[in-house]
Amino acid sequence: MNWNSIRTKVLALLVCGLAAGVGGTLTLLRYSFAKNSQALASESVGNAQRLFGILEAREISKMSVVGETLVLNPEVLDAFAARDRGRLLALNAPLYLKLRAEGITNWMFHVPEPDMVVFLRLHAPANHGDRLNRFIDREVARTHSLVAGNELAKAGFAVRIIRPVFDLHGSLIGYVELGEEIGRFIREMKKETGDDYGLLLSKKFLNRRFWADTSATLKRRDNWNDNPGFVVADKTTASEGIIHFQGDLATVAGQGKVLERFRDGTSVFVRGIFPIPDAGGNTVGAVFVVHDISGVYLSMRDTQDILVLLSIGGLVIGGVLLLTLLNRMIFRRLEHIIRVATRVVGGDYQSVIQIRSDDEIGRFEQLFEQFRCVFVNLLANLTELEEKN
Amino acid sequence: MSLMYELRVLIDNRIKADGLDEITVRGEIGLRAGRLVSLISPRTLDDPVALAKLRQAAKEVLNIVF
Repeated sequence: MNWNSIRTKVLALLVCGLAAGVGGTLTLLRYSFAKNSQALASESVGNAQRLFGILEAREISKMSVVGETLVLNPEVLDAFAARDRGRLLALNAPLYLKLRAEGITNWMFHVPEPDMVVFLRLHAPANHGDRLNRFIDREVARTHSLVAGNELAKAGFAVRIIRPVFDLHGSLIGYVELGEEIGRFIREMKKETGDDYGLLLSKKFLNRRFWADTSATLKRRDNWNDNPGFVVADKTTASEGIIHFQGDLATVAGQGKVLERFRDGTSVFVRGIFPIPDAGGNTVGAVFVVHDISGVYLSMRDTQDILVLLSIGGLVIGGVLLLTLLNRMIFRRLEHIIRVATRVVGGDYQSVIQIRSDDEIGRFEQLFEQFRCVFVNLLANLTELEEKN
Repeated sequence: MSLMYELRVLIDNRIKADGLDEITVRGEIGLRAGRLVSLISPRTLDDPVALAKLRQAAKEVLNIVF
């Protein structure tokens, strides 16, 4: 290979350009792919969080309406004001069975402050007289208006509403509270999206002994020691492997976080987590999300592969076209000039330089042809002079 | 007979013996030597510089050592 040749230099430049072009395209595509994958994963976690918020708002709204209806029932008001636990239970038990089927598993009546003890638990009528002293209890006593939010209690992590109950004269006779287990939300979310979820609770807000007792009552494995900072309260799959998180739930950003992207066979998943604050603003729990992004991910991967192939194909075809063009417009014509010059010097004075175009090389061809004519005439004159002498 | 002409004869003989294109080979040697091979005659005087160039050209193109 002649490295002094312009053709070789152009070819080398093209190969370098092609390599740089393909490398650049690949890098750009990989960057774009990684960014899109991350955006897709973030969107998945964001969507799960939004869905959770929608379900939470819907259930709060539902429980608020139930509570509102309840405090308009004079029989209920009368029984509660009279502190007639048996009548209150009898009046509400049929409705409780219906509400429980709708997910409202917690229903309590509290006496007003200063005692504010539980007067009746519809879900556990035998247990009463205890004081809960949670954030929502203090807040409803302070504001005497509806308070809603998540609250971690002995019965579990639930979204609750608590509202004051006034008699017909407007005097406070107590509070009514309704609650739904948050674990139910993740099963509804699974039905909606097909994704898997896990409900995590921070150990900081749980009692070890209570957790062991609850596990025994619910006949579930005591998983307290599975993770250092949290326990898995509920999950939508029997698989233990979906929860991959190390750290403190309190450090999870409010908008959620993508933890990783992983493959399982031919499917691609993302794991993410978003926090669940309680009514007091503490991050007491989090929802772990495993979202299948195979469809979009593989489609993006296919598009990337096609773009890479198209880029390589385009660059190769462009390179070949450029080289062919240079060959036709410059190199072949220069070779023709060299060939004619060689033949003229070799004695073939009839060889003529073909002027193929009025471009830069064409002007050179024309000049060289004129030069050739001068040279041939000069040679003829010289020969004549020699013969005369 | 000059050395220049002797070399020209050698070149012509080699071209004929090898069946080469006379015009092209003479042209290549002429371009390298800086003179027309066809104009080298028995009367051509031996110029040392011109002879050296012709020797070099003949060596490069036809590998003739003269």
